[in-house]
Amino acid sequence: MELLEVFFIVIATSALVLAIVTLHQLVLLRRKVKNALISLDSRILKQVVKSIERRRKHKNRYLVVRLVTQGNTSLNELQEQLSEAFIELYGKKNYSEASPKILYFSEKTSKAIIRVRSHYRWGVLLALAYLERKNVLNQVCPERITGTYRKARKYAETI
Amino acid sequence: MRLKYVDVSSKVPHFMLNQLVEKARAYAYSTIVLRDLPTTETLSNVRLIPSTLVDSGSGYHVVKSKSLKVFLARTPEELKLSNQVLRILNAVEIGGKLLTDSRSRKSFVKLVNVRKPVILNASEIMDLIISGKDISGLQALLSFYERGRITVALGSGARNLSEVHHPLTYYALLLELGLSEAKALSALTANPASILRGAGFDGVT
Repeated sequence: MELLEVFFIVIATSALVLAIVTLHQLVLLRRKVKNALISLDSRILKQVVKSIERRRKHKNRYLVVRLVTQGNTSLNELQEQLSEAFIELYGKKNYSEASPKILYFSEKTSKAIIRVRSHYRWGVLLALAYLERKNVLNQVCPERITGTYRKARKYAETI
Repeated sequence: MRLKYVDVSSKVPHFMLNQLVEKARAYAYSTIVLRDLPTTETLSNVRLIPSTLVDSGSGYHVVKSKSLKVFLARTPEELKLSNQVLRILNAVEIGGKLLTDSRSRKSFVKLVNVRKPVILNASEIMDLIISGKDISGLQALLSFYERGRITVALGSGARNLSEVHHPLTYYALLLELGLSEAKALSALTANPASILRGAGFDGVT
């Protein structure tokens, strides 16, 4: 008789322990679900999608810009000044992501072709405007934005 | 179709008028609004329109002159518009602390209620960005504009020739500030033209 009682007590105790553990696990699971729902919030989701897109699409754009300079400025000098302006405005990390590069500059037509990552095309225009404010450039006229260098070259060579 | 742009606030000194017109023509501006210009004139196909600053003590002489009447507000306290001023003015130019202080939001609600268009100076915004200052006030104003509760026009606000930029540069600036493409374009084309039409200057495209 005593043995049976002890057996029942053991079973009851283990059932109680199991119930407590399950309850604890439930609370933890609820927290996890709540966190998952918060991360699914539209604004955060939008940001996540945007960052993924940024990582995936490394498409280049070619900006055809008419640059009127103070005197005879070489392509290398222009590249240096553009890099400095971009870093000052956006920082080194964004500069390395954007990697703006002047591929072509014709003194005859005073047009330049700048290659930049698609997401930073407007940033390059602002960097050029910054150079205009600093009197490095006299005029900056954005003419075209193309997807290929060949098309950009076609526009850059026409006066 | 080639767009013609309107620079709704320029502060270039009058002795630089010819150089300004030359640069504006190269940048496809059809109209420039210049502070305290004596009369409306046209130079090399660029129309020059005068603008007058309106303050709380402005009287009949301001009403009489044909110019764009602008109220300049730089702090929330200055944005208290009396009925007399509201009757005269065509637009409110915003700058200074209102662009940098996040608490300006309340003042902008007042502006939404009086339904007056707002002029922003690109030059001042660029200065703030370059110096790395907080532009939460400006962000709040642009969020009102994005939701269609207020009309915003972007002017160059240029104090010298090097601060006059191509309209596409201003478009780029607005996009970088988070505006949609449609809203950014209308802040440079349709809205300045409608402000000038409201001031009685017809034929502005």
